[in-house]
Parts: sequence; C-alpha cells; structure tokens
Amino acid sequence: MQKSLNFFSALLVKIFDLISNTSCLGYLGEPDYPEDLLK
Amino acid sequence: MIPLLSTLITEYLVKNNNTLTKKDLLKIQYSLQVILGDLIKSIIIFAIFLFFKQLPLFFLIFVILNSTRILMGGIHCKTFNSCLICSIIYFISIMLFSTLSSKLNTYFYIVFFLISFIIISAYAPCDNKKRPLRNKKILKILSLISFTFWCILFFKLRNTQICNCIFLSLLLQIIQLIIVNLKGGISNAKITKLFFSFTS
Repeated sequence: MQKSLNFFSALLVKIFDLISNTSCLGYLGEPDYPEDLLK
Repeated sequence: MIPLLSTLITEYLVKNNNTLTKKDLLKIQYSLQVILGDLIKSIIIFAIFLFFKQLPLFFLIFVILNSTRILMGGIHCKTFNSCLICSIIYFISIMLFSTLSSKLNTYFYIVFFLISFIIISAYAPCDNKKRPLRNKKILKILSLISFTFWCILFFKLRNTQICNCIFLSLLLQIIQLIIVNLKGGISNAKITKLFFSFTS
C-alpha cells in the first residue's frame, strides 16, 4: 500500500512536469497555477 | 467540487508519505485538478456523443484537439462550468458541421491551410500569463508538424465527414490563436471579460 502511494505521488509530480511543458491543457479550461511555483 | 476532491486526495497522500515537500504537494494538487477536470468533461461529452451515436467523431475531435491545443495553446474560461459549456459547444458545433456540411472548393482549402500555416508560424504557441512557457521553439516546431500532419490527412482522405471535422477543428484553433494574440497573452480574467463582452 505504502509503495503504491509513493508511486502515485511520484507519478502526479511527473505529470505536473509534463503539463508544465505544454502550451495549454486539455480542453478550454486550466486551473489557476500555484503562485508559489512561479517564484 | 474538483478543488475539494483534489485537496482531499492530496491530504491523504501527505498523511501517508512524509517525503513530500510543500512544492510537491502543490504540484500534486494542480495535476489532480487537471486530471479530474478533464476526466469529468470527457465523460460528459462522451455521453452526449454516445447519445447521438457519433462516438468515432468524438474520438477524432478529441485527438485533433489534444494534438493541436496542447502545443499551440488557446482560450481559457475562468470557471469549470463555463469551460464545460464551452467544451460541449465546441464539440457539438464540430459534430454538426461535420455531419451536415458538404465539402467546399479545393482551392479554398489550399488557401486556408497556407494562411493557417503562416499564422501558426507567427503566433504559436500562445503566451500564458498564468504559467510561463519554457520551450517556445520546440512547441512551435511541434505545432507546425502536427498541423502539417492533419493537412496531409485532410487531402489524402475522401470521407467528407472526417475532412469537415479536421477543417473546423483547425479553423477554431486558428481563430483562438488570433484572438489570444490580438488581446495579449492568455489570462483567465481577461478572457472571461472578453467572453462576457461578446455575450452581453
């Protein structure tokens, strides 16, 4: 269980990195980007 | 509901994984919001297309949209609901045009694709004020490759429905590129203001 949770967390962080390299997400919406990550 | 659900999942992950930093949590929460938001929208639009028995068209629009918009960028809505409504209108408009319209003159399409190629070369990818783009050159090249691929497919295929679907999907993408570049970079608030100035 712990292993799968760690894997899931790492996967979501990797997805974020992938999203950050795109111009725009999916359809017509995009959630507000966390301001702390802009610094 | 989506921010709440993503917060709940993130909190669960925090409790069970001590190695996560504050930045990691923000990244996880953002990724979850994107995944859940797009998943819900996809399911709703999938159900609409299932009702109209137009699933192949749904998958085609979905693939064209994701292979162009992710690279070129586009207009955003401020809230999830307005985004969902716009997405539904977007998909249904393409479905109606694809099934009801006949194919136009070949020369018209050649001129359209040439102008579009120039617009993409000049404007893609759209600036995103909420999120800085780090790899503009790569995104521009990939946008042009993706657009060229759909152009070749358009002229190779004889099926009017598929050709109409490719044409309108690309046309809507080009219109978004022009609007975003005329009004400055993508900003949710600005686009919402623009959206409501059109509707009011």
